Amino acid sequence: MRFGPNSIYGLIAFLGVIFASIIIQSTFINGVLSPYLYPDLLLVVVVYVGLRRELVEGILWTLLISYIYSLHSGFSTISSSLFMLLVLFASRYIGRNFYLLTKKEYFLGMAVPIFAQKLLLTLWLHWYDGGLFIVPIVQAITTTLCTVFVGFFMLKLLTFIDVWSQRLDASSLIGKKG
Amino acid sequence: MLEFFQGKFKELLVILTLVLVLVTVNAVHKTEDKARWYDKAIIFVTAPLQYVVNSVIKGSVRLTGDYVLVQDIKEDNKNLLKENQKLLYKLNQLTELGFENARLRNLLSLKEKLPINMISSVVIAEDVNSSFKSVRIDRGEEEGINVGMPVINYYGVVGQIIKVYSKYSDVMLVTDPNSSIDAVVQESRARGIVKGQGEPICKLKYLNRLDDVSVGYRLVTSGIEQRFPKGLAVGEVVKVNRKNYGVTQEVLVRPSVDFDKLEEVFVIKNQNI
Repeated sequence: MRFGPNSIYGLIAFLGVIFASIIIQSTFINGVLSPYLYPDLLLVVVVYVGLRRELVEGILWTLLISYIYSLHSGFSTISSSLFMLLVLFASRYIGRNFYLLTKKEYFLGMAVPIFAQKLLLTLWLHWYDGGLFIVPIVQAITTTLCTVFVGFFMLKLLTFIDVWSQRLDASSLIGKKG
Repeated sequence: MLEFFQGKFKELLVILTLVLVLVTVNAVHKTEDKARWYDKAIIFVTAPLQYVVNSVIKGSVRLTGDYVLVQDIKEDNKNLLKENQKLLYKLNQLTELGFENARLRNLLSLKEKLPINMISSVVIAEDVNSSFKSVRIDRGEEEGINVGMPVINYYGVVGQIIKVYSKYSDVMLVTDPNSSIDAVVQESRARGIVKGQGEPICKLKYLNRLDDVSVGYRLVTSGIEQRFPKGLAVGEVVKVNRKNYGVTQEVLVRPSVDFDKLEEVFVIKNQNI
C-alpha cells in the first residue's frame, strides 16, 4: 500500500467514480439502452480493486461499493455484498496467478469474475423457473460482454487516478502480474 | 492441493469469516425496508443528481421523438377526430351504465366506495442491476408515503413501495423477481399469483390446470391480499402451456404497463378495497 501527497485527492476521485457510475447506470444506461446491453460499471470498479488493492482494503472498498449499490437496486445489502465479494476474490485470484498483459488476457481477467457473478445471480434468482431460464443466461452473457467493453476504458481511468495520486508507480505496471 | 490451501489459509479464513458474518446478519435482519440515517445521507447526495440527469435524458429523447413525429401529426389528427366521435358515443353509453350501476348498488345496499387518495410522482431513476426491476420516484415520507403502498398508472399496476426516504421512494415493479400479486382472470374469474421474472413477461402461478384461461384474457387484481384495490389491470395472457399432467398450468402474462416508457406514476395512499 503506497500513499503519496495526492492520495487524498485520489481517494476522492475514486469515490467520485463510484458515485458517477451509480448515477450514469441508474439514469442514462438503464434509460436508453436495452436490458441486454447494460454494462455494470461498479463491477468493473470491484474487479479493479481486486487487481490493485491489498486484501483488507479491497474488502472494505467492496463492502462500501456493494452497500451503495444496494441503495440503488432491489438487491439487498447482504446479498449484494456476497456477490460483489465473489467478484473481488475471483479477480484477485486471477490477478495473482495469471499475467494480464495483452487485451485478450485483460478481457478474460475481467470477463471471468463478472460472468461468474452474473451466472450465480441468475441461478439464484431463477433456479425454480423452467422455460424462462435461458433468457436470463443470455442476458448474463451479453451484459458481461458490454461490461468488459466499457471496463477497458474504466480500468484506464482508475489506473490513471492511481498513478496520478501516486498509489501506483507507472513503471511498475509494465510486465507486472495483474 | 494441500499446498494450495496451506498457502492461502489466511485468505480463506478471511473469506469464510466474512461470508459467515454476512449470512448471519442476513438471517437476523431480513427486513431492510426502513431507511437508516446513513442510507438517507447517501440518497440525499445521489437522488437529486439522478433527477437532473434523468430529466436531461428524458427531455432529449422527447425532443428527438417530437421532431420525428411532427410529420405524422396531421394524419394522426384526422384519425383522432374520428376516434373522438366514437369515444363520445361510448362515453354516453357508459354514463348511462354508471347511473344504472349506482341505482343497482343502492338497491343491493352495497357500501359506497371511498375515493382513493392518490399522489402523483415522477420516475427519476431505475435499478442499477438489470436482474432486478425497481425504480426511484420523487416522493417520500414527507408526502406520507409508506412501505407497501401500491403504485399504479393509467394502464394498471406498476408495483409497490419497498423503501422510503425523506423525499424519495423505491418502487418494486411487477416484473421484479421478488414481486408477486394476487390476480384473477377477468373473463373466467380464475385466481392465481402474477410473479415477476426479471423479464418483460411475468408468470401466472398456481392457476389450476382445469381453470379457463386463453391467450388474450385479461388479468386484474383480486383485492384479496389487501395491498392493491380490486379490479386494477395487471396484464394480458400471452401464452398458455397446459400439460397433460400436473396440478397447475403454465401461463405467461404481459404486464399492462409498458415499463420501458414509465415516467409518471400514482401512489395510492389510502384505499377502500
